[in-house]
Amino acid sequence: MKPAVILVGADKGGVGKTTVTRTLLDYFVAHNVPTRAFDTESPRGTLKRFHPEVTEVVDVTAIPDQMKIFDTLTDADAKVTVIDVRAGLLSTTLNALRDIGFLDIVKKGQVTFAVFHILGPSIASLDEIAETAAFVGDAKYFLVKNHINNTTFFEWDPATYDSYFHRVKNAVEISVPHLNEMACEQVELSSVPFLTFVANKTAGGDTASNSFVLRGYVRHWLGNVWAEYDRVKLTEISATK
Amino acid sequence: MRARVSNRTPLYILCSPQPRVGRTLLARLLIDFFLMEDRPAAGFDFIVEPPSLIDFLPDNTVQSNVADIAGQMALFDRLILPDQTAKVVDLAPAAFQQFFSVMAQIGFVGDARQRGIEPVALFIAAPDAASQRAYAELQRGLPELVLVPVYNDAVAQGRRARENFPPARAVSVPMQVPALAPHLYRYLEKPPFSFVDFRSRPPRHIPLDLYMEQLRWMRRVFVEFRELELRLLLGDVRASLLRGAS
Repeated sequence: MKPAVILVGADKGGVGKTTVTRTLLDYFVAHNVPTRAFDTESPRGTLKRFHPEVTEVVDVTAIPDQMKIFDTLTDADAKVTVIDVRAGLLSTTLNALRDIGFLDIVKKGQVTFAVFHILGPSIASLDEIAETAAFVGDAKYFLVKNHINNTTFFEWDPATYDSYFHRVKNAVEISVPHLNEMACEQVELSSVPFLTFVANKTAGGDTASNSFVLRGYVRHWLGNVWAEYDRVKLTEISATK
Repeated sequence: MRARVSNRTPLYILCSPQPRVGRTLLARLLIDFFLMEDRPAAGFDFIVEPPSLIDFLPDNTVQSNVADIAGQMALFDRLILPDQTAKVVDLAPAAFQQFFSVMAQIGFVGDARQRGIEPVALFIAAPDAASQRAYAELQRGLPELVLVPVYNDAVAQGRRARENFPPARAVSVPMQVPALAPHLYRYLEKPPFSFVDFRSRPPRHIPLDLYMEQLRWMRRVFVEFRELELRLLLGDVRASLLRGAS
């Protein structure tokens, strides 16, 4: 199986990068796709708190950590590598990927590369699209509108957005729906993957005492997020031979 | 104490998008039906205007709402408990949409079944178009929910009611609630009121013949409840046999 790298990022903070990464990791678990993750919020990673067993905290700008990620792509048991890029580091990371020749091997078809670009409600997010577009010519590029915090993309003029959107070849839009605030908060407090919360388990595997209603809301929400991933045929990324 | 019909934890939702169709009266009867058989029962009341369920049966009823997440948790986290306590929800028209919408979103019916709870919506059939629409939407929106039309003779009679509220499955055979003679209402409309006490201790102010008439009516309604329980039990047996055969 050809290795796949999924980069989740945005240059703006607080747009829900780690939340989306968590839904991706849960999605691959549910589809029995061995996956590993790198959390670039060094030295302490939020992603690692939720998925400690598959996550390693790295400094993506440091060469030893770049080697740790990219030199092991073909050797690792997990053929899908998800990188949660810290706010403000998306462009830097893409630059680094170009410099180390990663984008060249993507071009040659040796690695599948996908970018989940999480958009915020501001005009600045649209500029990010233009900036990122230069690097993702051979990648699968997903523009993610994250509504989990009830974000409304009020600043966007649809025509302007479309003009940015169409600049990127093969860009696909994904919409992450809103999740009830209390449900969201409870999962945060539990510090477990969404799937574990839904199954009413603790991080240690014991039975938790989560509200049935909140679990129901999370399950419903996660189902809708995954429906989006099914729509864009996400599993094909990991299935490419 | 009579033997339990099954090990299932009963959950009945008395509902209608219309007020004044006899919903609360049926909820009261249903709670007392269980209590009369020494089966624990709890009522959930969406108080609209007094007197409501909690006024009639204050010891067995809690106030509920689904307008906010805290109310939803307090209600549904209790309804999902397989604790053998029969739960009777007196669903006010104002909460009708929100209740079933939450129920659908959180996947309540499927999880409840896995825990040995069979949620049954007793939908009071009224002759208006809004009721027919709400019934059809409920059938469509929550196809896994057992939806039983209730023909309350005091509200709607005749063939048209049956045509407009068709049962969706074998277990959903409509319930027929006989009308209570108007002159008898006044004996049971002053809260608090328990049919259990009414049967065991006849009130002094009611003439014997009226008292007997009221008991007969009560028994007829209870027979309907019992038949419904038996149909649910047969449904369980049938499903279990089918599982065994496959």
